[in-house]
Order: sequence, then C-alpha cells, then structure tokens
Amino acid sequence: MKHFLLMVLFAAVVAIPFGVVGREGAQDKLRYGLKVFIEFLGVGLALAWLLYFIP
Amino acid sequence: MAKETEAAAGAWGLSLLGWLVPGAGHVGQGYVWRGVLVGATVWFLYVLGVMLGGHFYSLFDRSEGLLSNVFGFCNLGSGLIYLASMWLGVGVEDQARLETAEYGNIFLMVAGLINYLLALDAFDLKVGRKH
Repeated sequence: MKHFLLMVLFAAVVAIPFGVVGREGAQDKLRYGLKVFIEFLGVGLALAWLLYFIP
Repeated sequence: MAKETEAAAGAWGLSLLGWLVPGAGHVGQGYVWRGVLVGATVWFLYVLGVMLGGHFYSLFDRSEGLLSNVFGFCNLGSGLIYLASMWLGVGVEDQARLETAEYGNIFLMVAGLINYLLALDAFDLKVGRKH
C-alpha cells in the first residue's frame, strides 16, 4: 500500500509542473495536468501487472 | 539588434536564476504564483526524496558505471539545492538498506529534471514564445 501511495503522490506532484508548463490557459493547464496524472497511474499499474508475470 | 541581444541575455539570466533557485525564473518575470507553485513541487520532491532515503549522485561518481554520471546530471538540475546538499552532506549517503531508498533516488532525480524544464520554460516566457 505504501508503494502505491508513493506512486500516486509522485504522479500528482509531477503532474503539476507538467500542467503548468505544457499548456496555456488555466483550463487547458488543469486538463493537461489531470491527463498526465492519470497517464502516470495507468502506465505504472500496467507495468506493475506486466512485471508480475515476469519472474 | 541590440534590443534582441539584450532580451536574449535577460532570458539566459532568468533561466540560470530559475535553475539555481527553483521557480525564481518565473517569479522574476512577474509570474509569482506560477513560480511559487512549480518551485514548491521541486522542493517537495527533494524533501520527500531525502526522507525516503534517497541520495544525490556526484557528477564524477562511478559507483554504478556511466549511469552514475547520468544520475549526477539529473541531480544537478536541482541547482542550489543540489550544490548546498553536496556541500552540507545532506542526502549524499547511499541508504540502500531502506526499502524506499530507490524511490527516494528517483524523487531526487525527477526534482532536478523538472527544474531543468522550468528553467527552459522561464527562457521561453522571456523571449515571448509563451505567455
């Protein structure tokens, strides 16, 4: 659980500067930040499952 | 022409400032809240990275081969945080016995990489590529 929470925290904190730097306009920044956050989580979980099957 | 050279010099200066002090490149151009927010994220990643047991790599570290140099370059992105930590000896000891030490290393490296990105963003803002 600790590892998962760290991953969520990492994704949230890193998504902030990505959102701020990556787009212009408050709404676009927020949307892009959320997209990056979700992508981080999605890729993290997908890789975790993939690696689970690799001894 | 002289005006362009002056603007470019200012952009480089702000970019350097932004690298040294996270967020300062934005604050120096009047983007105060943006600078404070992104600067705080770099500081947060640094503090959390050290708390998790991560450590900074020296630029000349060869403990993990060439990768150590890459890690050192990533860490250098934190600017004064990195230089002060190396000088004061904070977060320089490898604490591999901690289960979260690797996470800590990643947090510290990403803090540096994000700060490089912020320095470049400060440059773009100054030369008018972004608003």
